[in-house]
Amino acid sequence: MLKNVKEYLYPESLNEALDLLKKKGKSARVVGGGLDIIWRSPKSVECLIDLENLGLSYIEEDEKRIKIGAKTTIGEAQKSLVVGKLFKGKLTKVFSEIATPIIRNVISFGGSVARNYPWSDITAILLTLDASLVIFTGEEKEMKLSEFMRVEIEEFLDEAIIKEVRIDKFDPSYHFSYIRFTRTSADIPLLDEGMLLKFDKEKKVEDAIVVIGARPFGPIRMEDVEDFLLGKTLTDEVIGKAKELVMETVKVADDMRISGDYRRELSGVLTNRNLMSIREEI
Amino acid sequence: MSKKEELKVVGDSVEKYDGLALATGQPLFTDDINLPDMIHAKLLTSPFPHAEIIDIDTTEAEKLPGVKIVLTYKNTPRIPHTTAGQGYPEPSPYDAFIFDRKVRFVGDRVAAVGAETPEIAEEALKLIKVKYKNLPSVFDPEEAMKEGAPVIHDEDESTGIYNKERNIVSHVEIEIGDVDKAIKNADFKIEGYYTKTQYAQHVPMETHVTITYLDENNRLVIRSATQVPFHVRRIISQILGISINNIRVVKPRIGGGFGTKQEIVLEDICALMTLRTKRPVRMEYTRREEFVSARTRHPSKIYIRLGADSSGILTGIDMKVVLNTGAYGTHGPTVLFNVGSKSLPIYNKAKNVRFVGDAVYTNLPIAGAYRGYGATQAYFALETAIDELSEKMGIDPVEFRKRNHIKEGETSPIFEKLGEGREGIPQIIESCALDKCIEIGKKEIEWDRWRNKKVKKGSYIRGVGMAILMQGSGIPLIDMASCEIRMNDDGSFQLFAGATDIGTGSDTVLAQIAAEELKTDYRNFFVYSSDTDFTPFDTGAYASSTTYISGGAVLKAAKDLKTKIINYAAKLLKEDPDNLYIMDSTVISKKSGKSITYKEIGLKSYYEEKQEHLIGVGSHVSPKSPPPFAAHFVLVDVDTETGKIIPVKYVAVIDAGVVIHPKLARGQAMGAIVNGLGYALTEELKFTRTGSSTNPTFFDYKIFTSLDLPEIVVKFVPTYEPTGPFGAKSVAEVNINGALPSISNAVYDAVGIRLKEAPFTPERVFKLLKERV
Amino acid sequence: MKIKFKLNGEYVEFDAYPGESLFELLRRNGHTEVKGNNCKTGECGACTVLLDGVPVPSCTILAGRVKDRSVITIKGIGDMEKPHPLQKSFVEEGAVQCGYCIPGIILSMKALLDENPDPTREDIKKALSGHLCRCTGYVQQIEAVEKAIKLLKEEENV
Repeated sequence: MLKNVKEYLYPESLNEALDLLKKKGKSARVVGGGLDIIWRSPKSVECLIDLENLGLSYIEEDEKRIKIGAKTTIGEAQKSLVVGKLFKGKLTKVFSEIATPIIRNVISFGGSVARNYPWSDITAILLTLDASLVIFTGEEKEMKLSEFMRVEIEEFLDEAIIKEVRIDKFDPSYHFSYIRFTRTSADIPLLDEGMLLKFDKEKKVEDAIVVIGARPFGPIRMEDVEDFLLGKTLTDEVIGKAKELVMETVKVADDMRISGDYRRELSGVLTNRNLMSIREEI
Repeated sequence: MSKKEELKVVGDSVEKYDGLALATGQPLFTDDINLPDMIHAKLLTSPFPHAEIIDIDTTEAEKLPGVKIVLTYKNTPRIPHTTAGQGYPEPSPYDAFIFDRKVRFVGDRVAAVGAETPEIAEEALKLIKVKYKNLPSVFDPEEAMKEGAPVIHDEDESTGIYNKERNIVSHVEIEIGDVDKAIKNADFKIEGYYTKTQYAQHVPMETHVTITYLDENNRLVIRSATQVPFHVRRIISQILGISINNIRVVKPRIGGGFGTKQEIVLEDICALMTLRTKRPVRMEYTRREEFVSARTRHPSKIYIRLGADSSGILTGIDMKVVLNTGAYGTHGPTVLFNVGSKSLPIYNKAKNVRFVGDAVYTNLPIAGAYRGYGATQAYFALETAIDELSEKMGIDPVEFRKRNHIKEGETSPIFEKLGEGREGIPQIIESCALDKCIEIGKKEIEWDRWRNKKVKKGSYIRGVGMAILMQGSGIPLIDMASCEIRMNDDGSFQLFAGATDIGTGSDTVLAQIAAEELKTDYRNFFVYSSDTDFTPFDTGAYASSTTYISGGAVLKAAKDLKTKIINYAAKLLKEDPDNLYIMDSTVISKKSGKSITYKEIGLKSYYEEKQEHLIGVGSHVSPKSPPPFAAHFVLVDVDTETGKIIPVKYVAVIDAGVVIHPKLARGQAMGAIVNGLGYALTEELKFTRTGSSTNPTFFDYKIFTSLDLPEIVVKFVPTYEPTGPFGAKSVAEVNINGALPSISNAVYDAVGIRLKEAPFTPERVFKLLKERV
Repeated sequence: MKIKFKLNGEYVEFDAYPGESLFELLRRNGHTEVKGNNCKTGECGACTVLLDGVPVPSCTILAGRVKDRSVITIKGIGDMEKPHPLQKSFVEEGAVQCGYCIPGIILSMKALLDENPDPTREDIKKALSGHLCRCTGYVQQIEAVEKAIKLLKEEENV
């Protein structure tokens, strides 16, 4: 029970929601899935703003992109046929391994992005897919997730509401792989790595995104490795070198779960496995 | 009772009595009632591992509107007691107080507030001002035993502690033969070997919860999630100075116990608050409190030496154990003795055996009773050392065990030497199918196909390992159970048993025993258990005693009732009772063929002729504790790149005597195995350097889910235990002990590294793999 | 504040604290069939209810979120006189020991079978993985679901 909460409001439009948010200030919170609010039980929250009536639960597509409303849960994304078309169902499979099946029915995309936990699978995956967000600040503004993750998120969201997540509909020259290392099946990742690689007709890497998260720090692009992979074919030698490069350059640390040294080892293993998995597909 | 008599309901997986009620969400659990005027209690716990409370000021807290009562050491009786639910006189030390002037671990009791709502109670906790004087603390039991270590229980009033100055709660030392000589002269030996186990928690899905109130007659009623209602009654009487007759303890359905509810955890605080405010009081542990301030398994360090002759027979076993009992000594002495008493007899061929051990205080959470109860730690040491020895000798580990394990008709001097915190009772094994269990298990796991082959698949290497196990059935000459069976006026029955069904289905099993004996449908029984006002005494659900001991009492009560029914029918039928027998709820005369049904007997005995209420009673104590046996085998894949151990297949072949309810028994085995797997691979309560738990949450204390399971095969090899009801023994605990040793053995088979420290987390295994290279 | 929603098929209006969870709202209004609430994070799954047919841990759902929506607890799918085939088979297969996790699990399984009446064993294990059970080791629960699938198919054919 959040005992200090005195109001639970149901705005009918994004404008109304934003006005309420601005008016109530720091003591107001927007409710997506609500999971994080219940987990954290912040004592300063006195007003909750429910986004249920704003029609933000949807998964749509146009020619170029998939659009996921901010209130959409991971469970809904898992069941979506639209999402299932991406990477021949691999994204669906990846979604279906996050947290537990019933918690997936509560985690919203907007909430996940807003909370930006360093071990969040969603932010790591979306960063790997170079996703964009649509932010409502009175008008709609599109920005890259990578850009969003660089702002002071809490302050930013005092005057903005996440409306939508957009993922490109990658053509078959793109391949995606994501691995999370866990203790049991119902776990946060102790380290995760996502890869998005584009290949040309000679199976040379034309474009690369490599993201490692839960280091225990949040997801980050491994630019040295991305640069290294450009123009290369995935031979055993190349994969081996990429693995070494990741292990050399990744910034890791100890936390109460595992040590930084072990994370470093794992980063190599995940790199190897992701690349092997992609190589089998192309 | 002849083995060959055809059993009609024993051996059948009948419908569990409370199954449908539970599956439809009926209000059966402690917290499923709401009493008017209820006060909610919350606990203030210590942030320090070891400190004196110089002063405690509760005035601000008491002033908060809605606060009804605040308890501290200043206003509560100071009666040293044990929180362990054990028979009197408890082997555990009397070293606990409701509230003390000292705190001994992070999470220890400091004060309690009772208020109109839980939120107000929590607010009030923050207003309590405590002045602590920090004391030096100690977290390692071997350190705590050294001279000069901080003394954790220096108070005069505590009794039953072996050596206060050295923090030793209990010490044990027994020797049979001459172990040093035997090992010195052995043809093959293992020396310098030890195993370590971690802090682990039971994680029952329902945390501790208690509701107390005064009934219409001003008697104290304690409604609690407890495994030991009668011990609760006695201990509350002792602590609060109320006569036993003025206390009623009711155990509703419980959401899991596993030993952590074999304790007084919340009952004393609630009871005292109710007595003072005259109002119902409710207290429930949050999950965090459950992890820290409930009970845990005793972490252990076990040193073991083995000696064997060249024919592959053990000549000497030397086991030395140091148990960490945490800040209070509950169950310390008994778990300590059980480390030896439940493991050493299995290798009775060894003529020289020594068992030395200490249970030691540290400033960490309280270790208590946990399924397996010392045997879990023991088998890790014993069964892995045996594997090491057989490897040295070039003998297949299965073969080695077959040559050395105890067999039917044999005994072990350990039974006499080690009991419950003191000397034990000698016994001869009258039922043992361990040899068959080993054979069947070996085949099922395809031992010869995998052992020593180190089959590779990518980065995974496969290995197979095994362990043999035994436990006990009840505590001999100590555990007493009783039962009363009454006939209703329609020929149906009410069965009253003190026996505590903690989800195990014992109510159903007891009804099956009664139904079998009284030759009637088991649905003719209404079973009412664990209410100290109505049900006769039972020590409670622990020591794997319910089927064997409580069942024994039910059998006696049923036999007693059978005699009374026959005698009554004899009067009505005007026949000699010796001519009468019972069959299908009817009493029949062998001589004349005349008969009278239970239904008729019910009506007539209540109202019409030679009226008497036909009631059978029985109490049971056993001079034996016949062990169930098991052989466990596990197939694992070791991911050499990450150190992660994937259990692929787990086989448990069990001798539990006659299995009364196959599905419930299989369920017990499955649950214990999965718990054991978690204990071996993922579960560990961790602490900072100042004794604070870092992971008291599901987030970071990881227990197995359905997706972590290997394929699990459970088989029972029936034997007949002549001293058990219809030949039954027990099944509750033994199967939790197999995962740790058999996985360590399997990993050794796969990658040649010996895992001696539990749990076998990927990082631990990875480090060892790297070192080997 | 007043929350109006459909509970087990009937419209109800409860008085809710703005900051409480659905679990607290239900328990306070006499719905003791929803068990749990000691982890308060949704990780044990015992408090699971169906929100618009989707299984969610009720301790993580703010009460205000269920306005005008449909909530189903275990009482909404069967009772002791007419149990749902899942409830029957759970009891028959020895999948109910202490029973604390059972209402939540059965609701999750119902949601699974509503969506996919013919799941594989792997599908069942996946759907079960959000529920922690310390008594049964899950195996007999999985077997109970498989039995329920058969029972439901038979019901359909009748």
